Amino acid sequence: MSLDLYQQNILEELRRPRHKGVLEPADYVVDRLNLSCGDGIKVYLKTDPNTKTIVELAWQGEGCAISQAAMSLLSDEVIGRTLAELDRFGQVELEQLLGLEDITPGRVPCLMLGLEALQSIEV
Amino acid sequence: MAFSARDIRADFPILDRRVHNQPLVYLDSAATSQKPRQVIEAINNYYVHHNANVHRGVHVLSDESTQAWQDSRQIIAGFFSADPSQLILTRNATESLNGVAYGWADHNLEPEDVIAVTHMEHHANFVVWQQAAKRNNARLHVLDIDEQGRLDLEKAAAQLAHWGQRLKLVALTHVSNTTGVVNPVEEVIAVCRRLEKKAGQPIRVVVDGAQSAPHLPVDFQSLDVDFFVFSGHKMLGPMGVGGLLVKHDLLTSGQLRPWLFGGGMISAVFTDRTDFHPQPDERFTAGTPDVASAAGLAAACRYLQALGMDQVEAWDRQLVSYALERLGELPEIELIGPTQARPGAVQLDRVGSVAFLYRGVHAHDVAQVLDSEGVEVRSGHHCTMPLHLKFGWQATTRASFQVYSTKQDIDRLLDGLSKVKQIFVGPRPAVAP
Repeated sequence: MSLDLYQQNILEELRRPRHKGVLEPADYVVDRLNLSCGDGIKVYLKTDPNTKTIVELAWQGEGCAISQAAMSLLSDEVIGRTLAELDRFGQVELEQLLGLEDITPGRVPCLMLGLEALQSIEV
Repeated sequence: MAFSARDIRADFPILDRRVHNQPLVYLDSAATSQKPRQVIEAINNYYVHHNANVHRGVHVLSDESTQAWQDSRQIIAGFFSADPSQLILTRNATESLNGVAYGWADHNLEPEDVIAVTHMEHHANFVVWQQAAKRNNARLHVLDIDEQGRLDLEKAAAQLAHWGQRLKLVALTHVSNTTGVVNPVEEVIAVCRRLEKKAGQPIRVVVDGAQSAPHLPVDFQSLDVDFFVFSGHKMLGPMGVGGLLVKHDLLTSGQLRPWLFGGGMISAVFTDRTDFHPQPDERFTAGTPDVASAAGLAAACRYLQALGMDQVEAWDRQLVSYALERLGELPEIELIGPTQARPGAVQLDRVGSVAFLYRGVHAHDVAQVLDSEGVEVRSGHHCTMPLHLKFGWQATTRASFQVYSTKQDIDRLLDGLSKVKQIFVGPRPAVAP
């Protein structure tokens, strides 16, 4: 991987993250820590009680450019989807969202942090 | 012979490679050092010419292998001014520390006894004691450190004295892998010796030498320490071999008991009992040992000895001070650990590495950009989470050195950091405002 990792779109997400904030009260609050670097992401969700569609989302987090940009882009993607549909996302989908190819193994946990928080919701 | 990092570099084949089409700058030696040709050849030579199991046969190869094992042990022990009978070869410092916990602590601690560690310990010298304390219903006391990450000796002595007869073990690192702080281990040991006289029973001291053995001369005998542990791979040796040095009385009194059982460590086995081998080096080596790695580590010890550990230390101190000076010029960098000698001290009490925070940029991103420039550093919590939590550092970036490191390497680090600034902070104005 080269400096392509820090392409403009990723730096842009970092400067102006989408849906960053707190949502209270929320139907679900989940968080995930990356123990190797102390990064953490906490996600707040409001869902439609019948369809379990995500209607509102906010997240808080501190971490590297990859974990933060991935969560920012992901947040836009999942609003309007049901909790069950979260399973459709994985490493490949996140790489596509960020426009990255072949992220190195060392950065996979950063990429996946926000998604893993979301996928920890028991449907 | 004058110490020349430039000449030394010629012995390390990996330093010729390129990373992202740039010449490699390896500044992660505290995680693991690179290996000189002499070490690689020693391992190769063992497998090409001598490989056979030790002690098992009367044939030539087995004899040669046994000889290689014994010679290696002699050289490694000698490097630390220890007797070979005091050396237990393990996989690494972590395994050595676990050995002290399972082989000594579990047989000698009583409920309410106290194990003291410092706040700067690597997880290997922290989790091991936290868990040993839990197993034995003992208490773990974490000794304070100051804002620079130094142990406050006076305060530590008072805290240790407070426990009286309950204090059984003090475990501390010789050199911090994060702040680079050199602990005053001689003074801490002296404090423990005074306290044990007062208590009328021994206080055992464990020194984690994983980060000191690569940079400082270590004399196990004169240190008067009970256990000293080290990792071969951080001192130019191969991965998979390290050691535990043990004071004679702990071996002869049987206070340190075997924690690994099986072949090799026995003298006789019956269906209902086993007599363990009377020689300590055999008693603590269960199963087939890694002779090739021992030969590799012996070659590393010889290599360092030929350079002279005083010279190795002096070079490291030059690099640390140069790195502190260059990094200290950057307003975006917050240095971790002490930058000035203690009042009255001749030299700065730190070796091996310089860790820092880059204001506004996560350590992983710093390390990733540096990597793209061919500069390999470590980012994260460096296995010192209690230390990082204490100071509220999410993650730090660390540059660490070895005999082959140069001031040019540090200049390349600085060049890389200007790239970090370009990407995350924006281009520098053409004319300073």
